Amino acid sequence: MSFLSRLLVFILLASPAAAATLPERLAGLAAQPERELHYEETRESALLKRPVTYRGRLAWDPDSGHLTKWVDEPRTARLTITPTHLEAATGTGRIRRMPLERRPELAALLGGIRALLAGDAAALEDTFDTDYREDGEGAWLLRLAPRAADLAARLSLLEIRGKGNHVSLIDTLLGGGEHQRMRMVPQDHDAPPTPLDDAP
Amino acid sequence: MRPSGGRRLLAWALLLGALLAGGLWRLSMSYDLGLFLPAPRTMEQQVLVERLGESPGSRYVLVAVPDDPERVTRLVASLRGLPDVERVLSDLAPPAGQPPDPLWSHRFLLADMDWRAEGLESVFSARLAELGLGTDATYEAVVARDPALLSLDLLQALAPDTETPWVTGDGRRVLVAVTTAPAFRLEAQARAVNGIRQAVAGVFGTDSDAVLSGAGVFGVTLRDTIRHEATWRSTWASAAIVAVLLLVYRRPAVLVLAALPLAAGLICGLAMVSLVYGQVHGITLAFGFTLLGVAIDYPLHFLSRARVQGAAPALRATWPTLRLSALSTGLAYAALMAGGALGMAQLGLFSAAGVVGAAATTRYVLPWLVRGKDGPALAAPSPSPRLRPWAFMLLAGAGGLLAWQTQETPWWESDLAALSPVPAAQLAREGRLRQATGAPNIRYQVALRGENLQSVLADSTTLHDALDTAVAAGLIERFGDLTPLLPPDTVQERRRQAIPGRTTLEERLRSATNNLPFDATAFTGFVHDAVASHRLPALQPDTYAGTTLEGALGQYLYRNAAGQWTALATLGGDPDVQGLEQLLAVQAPDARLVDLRAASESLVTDYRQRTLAVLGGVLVLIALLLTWRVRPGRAAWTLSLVLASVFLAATVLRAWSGPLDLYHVTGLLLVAGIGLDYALFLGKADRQGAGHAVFACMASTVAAFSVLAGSAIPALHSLGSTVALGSALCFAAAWLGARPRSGAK
Repeated sequence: MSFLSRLLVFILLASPAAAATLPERLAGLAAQPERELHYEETRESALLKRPVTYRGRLAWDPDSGHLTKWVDEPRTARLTITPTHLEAATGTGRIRRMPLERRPELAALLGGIRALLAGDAAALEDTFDTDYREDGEGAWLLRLAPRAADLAARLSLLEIRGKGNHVSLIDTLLGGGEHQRMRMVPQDHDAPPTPLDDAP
Repeated sequence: MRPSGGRRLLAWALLLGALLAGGLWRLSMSYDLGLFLPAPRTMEQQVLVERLGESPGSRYVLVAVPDDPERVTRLVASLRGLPDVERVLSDLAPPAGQPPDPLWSHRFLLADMDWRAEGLESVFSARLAELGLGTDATYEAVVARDPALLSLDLLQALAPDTETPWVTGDGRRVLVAVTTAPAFRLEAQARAVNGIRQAVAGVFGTDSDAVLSGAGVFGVTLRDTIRHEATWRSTWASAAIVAVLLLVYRRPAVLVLAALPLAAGLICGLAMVSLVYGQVHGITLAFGFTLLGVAIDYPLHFLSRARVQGAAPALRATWPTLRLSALSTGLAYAALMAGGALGMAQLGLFSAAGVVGAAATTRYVLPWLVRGKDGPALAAPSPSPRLRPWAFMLLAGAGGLLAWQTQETPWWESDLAALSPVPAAQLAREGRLRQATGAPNIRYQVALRGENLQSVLADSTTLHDALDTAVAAGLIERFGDLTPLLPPDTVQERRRQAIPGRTTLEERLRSATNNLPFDATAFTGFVHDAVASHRLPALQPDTYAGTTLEGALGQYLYRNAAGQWTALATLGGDPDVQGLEQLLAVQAPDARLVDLRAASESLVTDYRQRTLAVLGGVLVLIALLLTWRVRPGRAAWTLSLVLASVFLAATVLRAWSGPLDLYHVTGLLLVAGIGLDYALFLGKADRQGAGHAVFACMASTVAAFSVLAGSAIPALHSLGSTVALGSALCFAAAWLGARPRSGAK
């Protein structure tokens, strides 16, 4: 779920523009050709003795409708979301596969992301209450609060920050109060291949 | 001194009252359809009969609703809250939280784990990668106490296939509510089904086209349908009999007089079954009362004659034949007791006792209730002697032609499912819904049997490995079995021995997490549980009692009344039967692939053969009985007429509706009883009033059973059409075959 929220970066990372309203911003984002970007996120957990920084890539294939999150460091893993299924694989070869409907909150988020990709503000607002603000100097904040109670119980709030058509940060506030932050990093075209490159 | 009429009536009433009270006092109603299955002989038949109420998924209520994931999720939550629903299977969100006990408490005994520092490090590496995918608090809580995720793997092994969404061809989402009660506990099933309907209405509205299916749903629906059908059809059938009797006798009092022996027969039958068996099956009552229908003929024979001659002469004239008819019929019914099925034995005893009771009432009570004669002398018309050979040839020719034309059709229905009172369309729909959920194949299972639980469990482990090979070889799609839930004691002990002591484990944990960012102190719960596993008693079948996994275990393991343990593996998809049998023969020679359909067919065939053999013996007995009262020639002629009528009826029915099922056979038995009665009375030399009586009997029987024949319930339809047709044919044969000058001895 938190991963999917981070995929919103696709839509929100883009070239500078002077859009002042949400529909205009979405239209600009939808026109972006970029389909893969790199991220860095720091995880905190009671299981960990110190925060762990994960690095990886997010990939969106509009033709197949697959969204994939690659974890490249410190260990390799992959999570692929197809229009119907969710598949998680780790470097040990363990693969878990389940229908997307088993995670209705993910399905709803995916719907939201599709709406964003299409620049469809109306469809986005079917899933989220949106709050879009700009500070007059190009920096902006988009707050997305799920409308459905089931979804809100697992995902309280998404906050996406950026400047122009660049997204710099996605903050995810989960239902249990846990906070996760994903920072976008400039693309590195010389990234090493991952052992999980057999993803669908 | 002979008792007066009043005293006699009083004694009769008291006797019946006592029988009724005694019968009802001991009586308890049973609805276990297993009572109607014959005693099994082979292991396959035993598995079939022993698991009839507990076959894979027999507690499933399949719920097909519009495919709306959000509302379906709400429905799942709502169903989980129902007291009569044990668990809900769906391809949607599983219940959050740690897996249920004893799977959780015994996880370290249920699965292998590499306890070396390197093994633990590999486990923690995998978890580190997964944390990067984005997980939730529930997952992390499980990891803290089960870092190898043994419990989740075990749970996944038990879960139904969820890779394919459970959606039917017409786009409905299917859920499975597993009821707490077995399918044959109809009251509990009715509560569960009602609760499920309300939950569906609460989420989807009352006008949604949601569909409920499953053995329990069929049972409840059938009970309601049968109650309704049986009530109004019995009412109409009774009305038909009343109308015929009023038309023929033109005296309302005849109705009461004709009903008395029937009522007495019912009470006698009930009392006998109650005394001998202590309980009576609902079907025994329903069919028993039907078979008892022949007894209404007894008072009619007497009354038809009495209206001409008065009571005493009529009794003298009719009783010998009536006694012969009742004894022969009672004997034929009693033959059902030798068939080997408890339910059929009850049915036989009930009908035989009922027939004898009704005949005795006709003999000892009715004459004291009938006053003088009140009708004109009636003579049974005989068919013209010239007509008779032609008519016989016509009937025989028609029968032969029909038999020849339908020779491709088998005589007997061997499919146990054909006995199912559930309409075929509902069964087909059930199949489609099951297919959508990947519910286990209901035809094939693999079974292991033994006296000793541990050896069965050990063989089951071997079978598990063999079935893994079968999946890899593509012989089966998937399977479900006992091994993940209950490994043998020796395997549990080996796993227990492999768990290190506290100090060692803590040391290895530190070593394993040394190069990883995990905090070893976050896993104290894991260390505690692992060390506690040293003291856990080995998991036994009883450990599952009362847990949410009790039903899951019961699906794979049971103990029969003889104390034998049977382990079952369920198969998913359509198995390659030949390939699987070959593989099992090599890798798991103690296991047997059970084809439940073949088992049920052989069971029905065995049962029919045994019943036919017994009936053959009874036929000889009846022939001997007949020679007691009539000359051998006439006895042979009478039996020939009856057998010819039964054969002709069976031929017509086969041509009309295909192979004959057990309800047809039951109906033919009644036809034989009726036919014997007609042939004996119409065959008497002195048959004053007999034609009148037999015609009244035939007309009332045909009218009543025609009403049943119109039913959509297969059992009622088969029985009704058989008896209506058969009694008409018996009448025709007896009338054509009547010999005016041949008399009783």
